[in-house]
Amino acid sequence: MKGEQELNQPFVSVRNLQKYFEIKGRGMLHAVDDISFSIEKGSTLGLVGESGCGKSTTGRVMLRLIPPTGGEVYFEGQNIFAIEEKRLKLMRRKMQMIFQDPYSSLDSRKTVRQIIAEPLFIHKTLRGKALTKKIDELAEMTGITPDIMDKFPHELDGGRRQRVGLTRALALGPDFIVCDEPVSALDVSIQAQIINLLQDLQEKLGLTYLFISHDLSVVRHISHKVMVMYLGRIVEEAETEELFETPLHPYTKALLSAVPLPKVGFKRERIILRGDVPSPVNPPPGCRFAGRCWQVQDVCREKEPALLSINSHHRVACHLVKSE
Amino acid sequence: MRVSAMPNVNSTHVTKKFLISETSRRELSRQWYRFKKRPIAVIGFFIVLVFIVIAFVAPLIAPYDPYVTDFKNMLAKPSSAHLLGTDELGRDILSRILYGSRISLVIGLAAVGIAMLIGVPLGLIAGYYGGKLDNLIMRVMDILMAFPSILLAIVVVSILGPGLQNTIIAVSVFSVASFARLARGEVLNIKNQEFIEASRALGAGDGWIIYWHILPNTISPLIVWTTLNVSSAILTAAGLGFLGLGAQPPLPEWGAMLAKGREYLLIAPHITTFTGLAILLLALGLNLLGDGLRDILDPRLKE
Amino acid sequence: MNDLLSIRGLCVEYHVFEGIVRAVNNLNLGISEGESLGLVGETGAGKTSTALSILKLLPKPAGRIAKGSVIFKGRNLLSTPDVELRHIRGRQISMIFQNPMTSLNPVFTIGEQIAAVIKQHQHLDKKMSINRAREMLELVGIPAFRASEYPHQLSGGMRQRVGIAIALSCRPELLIADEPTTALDVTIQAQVLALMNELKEHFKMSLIMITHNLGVVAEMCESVAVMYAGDIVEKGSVSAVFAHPFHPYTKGLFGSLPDLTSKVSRLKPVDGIMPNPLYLPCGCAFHPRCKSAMPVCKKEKPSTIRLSDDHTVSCFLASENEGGAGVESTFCER
Repeated sequence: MKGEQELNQPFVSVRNLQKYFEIKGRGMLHAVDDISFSIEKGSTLGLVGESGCGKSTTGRVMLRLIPPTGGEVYFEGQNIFAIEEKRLKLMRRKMQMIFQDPYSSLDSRKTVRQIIAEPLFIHKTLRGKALTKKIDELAEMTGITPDIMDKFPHELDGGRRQRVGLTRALALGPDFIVCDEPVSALDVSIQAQIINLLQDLQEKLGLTYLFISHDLSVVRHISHKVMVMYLGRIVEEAETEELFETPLHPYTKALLSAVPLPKVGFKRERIILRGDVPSPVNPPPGCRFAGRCWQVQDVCREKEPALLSINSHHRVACHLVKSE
Repeated sequence: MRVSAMPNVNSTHVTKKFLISETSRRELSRQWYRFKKRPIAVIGFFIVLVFIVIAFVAPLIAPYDPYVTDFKNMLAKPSSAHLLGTDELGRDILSRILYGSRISLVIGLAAVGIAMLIGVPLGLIAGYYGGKLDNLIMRVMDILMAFPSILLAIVVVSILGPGLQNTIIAVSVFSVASFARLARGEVLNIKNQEFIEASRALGAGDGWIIYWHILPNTISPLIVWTTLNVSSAILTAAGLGFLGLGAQPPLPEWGAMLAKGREYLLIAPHITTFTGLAILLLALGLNLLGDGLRDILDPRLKE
Repeated sequence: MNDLLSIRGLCVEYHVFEGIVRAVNNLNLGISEGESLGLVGETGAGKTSTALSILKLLPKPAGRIAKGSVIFKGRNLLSTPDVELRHIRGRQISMIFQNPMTSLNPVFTIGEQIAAVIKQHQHLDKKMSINRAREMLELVGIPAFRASEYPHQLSGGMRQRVGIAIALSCRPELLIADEPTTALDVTIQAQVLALMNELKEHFKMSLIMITHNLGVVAEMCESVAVMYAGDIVEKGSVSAVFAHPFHPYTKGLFGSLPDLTSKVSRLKPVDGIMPNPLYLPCGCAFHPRCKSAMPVCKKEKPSTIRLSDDHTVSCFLASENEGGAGVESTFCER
C-alpha cells in the first residue's frame, strides 16, 4: 500500500481488519470495523477505548483466537490468516497473550508449575531435567518464588496469578505479546509492580507489546504509541507524548478530560460528554461519534471521516481536523 | 525412547512428578481431612465398604450354602439356627442376602462402568463440538431419558431376554444418557472460560484441551455421579428382578427374593423385610457417600 | 468539632473456618456536616467493612462488630435496636453500592424501586410516591418517562444513577458511596461524579466516598483517610495529604500511580502485598513492607500523631521527634 511498507517491514502489520458478529434478531455487530495499523519491533502500542470499542476483540482476532471476518495480519512478513493449522501452531510460539482476569485465565485445578509447563508440553520442546530447569528460570524472571510453585491459583492473590499467566506466556520465548487489560483487575500497588515487570521484560527480552487498556494513565506510562478506538474504528493514533499533549479528535479530548486526576488544584478543561456509549450493532452512517460530539456538523452525520495522517506519526479521523 | 503425545505416559522422572506429585498428595490429604469432617459421608462410606467386603467374603461368612434347600424348614422364622429365617424352599435368608450382595454390586458397578465408557465420551464430544453433532447426540439421549428408567430396562430385557448379563445391559442404557448429559454440562461450563482460550493461544489442539483441562475438571462430578448412579442401577436391577426379568432363580438376587417374599407376606414377612432392608441400606450408603463426595472433591471450595 | 458522624475504636471481625479475620482494627474517624471524606485503601483494607458497620449491615453470622461505637447525631447506632435503625437507613444515612447490576431488583421497574423507599420513609401514598420518584429521576438526569423501565433495559451508568436516586430520595444527611463508579467507563464515570458533586451541593449532604482511586478522591472530597489492614494510617485534608504524604504506605500509593499529565520514568510501588487479615503482623501492620521500619515498629502499634492542623498520621517516624509512646498490639500471633 504505502511505499515505505516494502522497505521497512514493520514487525506486526494489521490491514483492514474486520470482525462482525451476527446478533440474532438485531443485526450485525461491528466489533472491529476495517482498521489498519502497525507496531514496531520492541515497542509498545497502547490501545485505548471504552466498552464496546472493539479493543479486546482486536487483540483476539489478531492472534486468530477468533476467526476474522476480513483483513490481514502480517507477522514477520507472513499473513497469519492465510497459513494452515500446522504452521499456525508454530507461529503461536512467537505471539502470545496475557489476560485481564487473573481468576478465570488459569485452570483452577492445576498447580503453578503445571500451568507454566503447559506450553512446553503442548509443543514438546523440552523434557526431563531441561524442562524443570527452564520452568525455574522462567519463574525467577517473573518474580515467582519457589514456595508457590506447587500451589493452586485460588491460593494466590491477583498479582501473583498475573505473574503466573505472564510466565506461561513467556515459556515459548515469544516476540509479541497482546496484553488484554492485564492490570485492570489489580490493586494500585500491585498494578505498579506488574507494570514495572512488563517494562523490564520488554527491555531484557526485546518484546513487542500491544497493550489494551481503558486506563489512560497506565497507557501513557507504558506505551510508545497510542491508538484510540471508538465503536470499532480508530479515531486517533499518535506517539504517546503527542497524543496526550495535543489530542486532536474530540473523543480523545473528552476521554482525557474525563480521567479524575490525583492532583489538587490542577486546572484543565473538563468536557463532560452527554449520553451513553452507543451500541456497535448496526452503526448509523456518518461519524460514529456524531451523537455525542459537541462540535458536530452536518457533514459528520452524513459521511464517515477517513483516518488521515496529520504528520508522520499522527493520524486522526475527523472532518474538523484538516490534514496537511 | 520416543516421547508419546501424552506426557503422563512419558516415563521420565520429571513428568511423573506432575502426576503423583507432592501437591497431589497434599490435595488428597486435604480431601481426606474434609471427608472425615462430614459424618454423613463417613457413614455412607462405611456402609458401602461393609457391603463390598461382604460381597468378597460371602463364601467365608455365610452360614449356609444359599442354594441348598431344606424342605423341613420352609418359611421358618428367625431363630438361632437361621438368623434371618428361611424362604419358601428352606434356604437360609441371611446367606442368600450375603451372596445377593455380590450380584447387586456386580450389576451396579458393571452397568455404570459400561454407561460411563460410552456416555462420557459422547457427552464430551457433544459439548465440545456443539452444533449439529451436539443436537443429534443429545436428542437421542433425551429420548432415552424420557422413559422412566425401569420401563427402559424392561424394554431392553424384553428384546434381549432375561438373565444377569442382559440385566446389566438394560440397566446401563439409562445411565448412558445420564453420564452423557453430565459430561456435556461440564464441558459447556468450562469451554468458554478464559483459561481454555489461553490454551488455544499457546497452540493447543482440541485433543490436548480435552485431555489436560476438561477431563480433570470433569472427574470429581463424575465420581459423585457414578456413586449415585450405582445406587439407582442397583434399585433398577432389583426392580427388574422383582418383575422376574432380571437374574433368574436360583440366583439369590434381591429383587427376585422380594418378589417371592411378597407371595408369603402375611405369614412370613421376614423374607421381604430383610431383603428390602438390605436393598435400602446399600442404596442409602451409596447416596450418602455420593452426597458427601460432592462437597469434598473441588480444590476451589473453601470451608 | 461538631461531628455529624463519629466512629470510635471500631473493631470488626469475621468468623470463618480458618480463624478470625480482623477486618477493622480500632478505627477512629469523624465526619462533619457537609464534609466529603474519601476513604481510600486497597482490597482488604477494611473500607467496605467500615461502611457496612455504620449501618449495621455486616453479613451475618460471620461478621461481627467486636468493639467500638458509631455516634450519629449524638446517638450510638451500634446500640440502637434494628427497629429504630430502619428509620435511619435510607432516610438519614443512605448508601450506594459498587455494582449497579446487582444492587437493583431486576423484577421491579426503576420507578417502583425509588417509590418504595419514599413510601417506606415518608409515608406518602402510592400516587405521590411515584410522582416523587419521577422527580428524582429527572434530578439524576434520567427522563421521567423511563420510570416504567426495568434495570436490564438501562446501561450501567444509568443504573448507577438510579441507585443514586434511590439513595437520595429521602434527602439523607449522610451518603455512603462504596466504589460507585469503579464498574463504569471513564466518560460515564465523569458524568456520574459530576452529578454526585451537584447533588451534594444541592442537598448539603455529607459524603463518605469509598474508593481505591486517588483521582476520584481529589475530584470529590475535601478530606481523605488512608486505610491499611483495618486501620487508618494517615488522615487529613486532601490538599495537605496529597501535597505532603507522610506515611510510607501513602507515599507508596502515590508512587504507584502513573501520571496522565507527564511521563514518569519508573513507578515506585511498595514491595509485597497486604497481609493476610487472619494473621496480622505484630506492631505496625505495615512494618514487613516498610523500608523505614524501626525496631519499635515490630512490637508496638503507633498512635496517631498530629502533623499539622489538618493532617494526622499513625507512624513512629512522626513520633521520633516527639518521643511518643506507641500502643501495645492487641493481638500477636508470634
